[in-house]
Amino acid sequence: MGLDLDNWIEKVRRGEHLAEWDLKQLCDYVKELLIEESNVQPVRSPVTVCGDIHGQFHDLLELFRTGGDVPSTNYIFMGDFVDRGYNSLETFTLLLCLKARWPSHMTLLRGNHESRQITQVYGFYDECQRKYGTANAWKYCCEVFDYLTIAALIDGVVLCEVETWAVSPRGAGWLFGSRVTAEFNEINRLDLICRAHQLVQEGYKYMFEGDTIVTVWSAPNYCYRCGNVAAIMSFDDKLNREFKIFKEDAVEHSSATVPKSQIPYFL
Amino acid sequence: MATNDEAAACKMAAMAKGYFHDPFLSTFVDPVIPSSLVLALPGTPQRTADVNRGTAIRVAGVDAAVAAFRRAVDALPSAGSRPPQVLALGAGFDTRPFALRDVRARLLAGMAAAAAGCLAVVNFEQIRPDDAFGVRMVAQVAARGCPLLGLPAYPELVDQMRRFRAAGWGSVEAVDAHTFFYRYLPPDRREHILSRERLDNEGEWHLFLRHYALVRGALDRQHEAAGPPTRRRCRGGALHGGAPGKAVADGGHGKRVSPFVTTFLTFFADEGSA
Repeated sequence: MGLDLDNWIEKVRRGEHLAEWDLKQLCDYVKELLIEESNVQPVRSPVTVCGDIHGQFHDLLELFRTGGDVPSTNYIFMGDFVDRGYNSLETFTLLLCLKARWPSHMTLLRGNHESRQITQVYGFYDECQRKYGTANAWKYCCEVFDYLTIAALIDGVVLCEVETWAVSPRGAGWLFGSRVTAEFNEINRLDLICRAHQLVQEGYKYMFEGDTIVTVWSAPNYCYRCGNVAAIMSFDDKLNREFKIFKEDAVEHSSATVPKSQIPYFL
Repeated sequence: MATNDEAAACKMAAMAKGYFHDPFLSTFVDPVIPSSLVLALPGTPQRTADVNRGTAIRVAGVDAAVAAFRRAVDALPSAGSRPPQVLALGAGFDTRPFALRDVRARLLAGMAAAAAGCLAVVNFEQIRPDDAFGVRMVAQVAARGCPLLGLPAYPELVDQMRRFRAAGWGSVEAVDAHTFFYRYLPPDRREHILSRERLDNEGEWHLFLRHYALVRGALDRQHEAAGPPTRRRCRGGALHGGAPGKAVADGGHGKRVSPFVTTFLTFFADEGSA
């Protein structure tokens, strides 16, 4: 296929980004893979489901240390790879490399941050501009976003999907309640819905009684200030569930990585 | 970076995005140019959306206290006889890294002791330094040169109330900024703040807001209730203490209630905000 994937993976794991031309080839190749996938991509267990990463690159490495490397562990990432954290580029590049190298072991879903508009507001565009000097890298990545899968279905009974549930504006509850979720699951013969995109301090949280829907959040100490732990959700080949918790990586969250002037509080 | 500089920068950043209007800003800039336009010029401080919202909530909290103070003054029988005064002590509180705790405590107590008539105070500051978010907040704000020296001593709302009462403020109320914003701020002002900029993660926002508190105290030398203050938790999550208000039981002491105190502190009463 002409891509030096093993070397690229090693390079990115060291925290370096690819040459612009290499990134373009990588993006083009992954688009070709993604075209072949369904909007609701069927996935077979065993597999580990992950939530938001948001550019926290060293925390992503910690995630792999916690859950096991690809391909011995299969992964579904539920989007929001970029923005907010300072290393969105390396984060997304590594995930693309792993997808290209082991396509059937990696499923990448599209989060709401995988968008041209959002990434111009929340940091990915600026980071690409800073690291490459042009907007080309961002453009290549945005093209990949357009091809990302919307949902994954594990063994036909566990649905992993991008945020489709609305949170009450008061932040005190859900506009869709537990009864609706239970009915949805029953009609569609689902055991469980996995979702992300909501910060949970404990890393994961079942939203209602009956364990019908679970939020998985994989960015520890989100935005370098929330102090939360992160989680990934591991299914074995019988769909037994295990949550694996991990904490923030010291390198990612050291003051050297995170400029002191940038952490926002108000006084 | 000094705290008062940071607070001023936050205010300018929020004003530039239209969160609130400061009519006095025009006295410092060309009055012909709208202040919001001036603030949109290059070099205007910028802050993230949640910080802008937080700044706007702080401003709204102080505005609400000033409005309540005005109503409380009007409720006095001597209303109109002497002009009320509002002292803005502002964020200059936290600029000195040494003896700050003593300075603030002495200031609070001194104000209360010197009061001959009616006095009210409002305070807005960080709380809850001991949870995962709070630990990092304290460390990171300190690393920026703004140590929050008072915070460890008054981590919770009850501690803030204790602090004010210890300083001689007979009647005190405290809410966290989340409760203030979602329960007590008038809906149109809340909607205005929410609609200026979007946030991408609601959970983070709620966590953030819960680490700030709005505390208000009042005293009226002519109407001091005898006996220890009673403490009741109201449904809305506000803590009341001291002189009985509409939502708080008297505790049986049956003393005359100061209209100044009850008018000022009943902003947080369950029966509804003003």
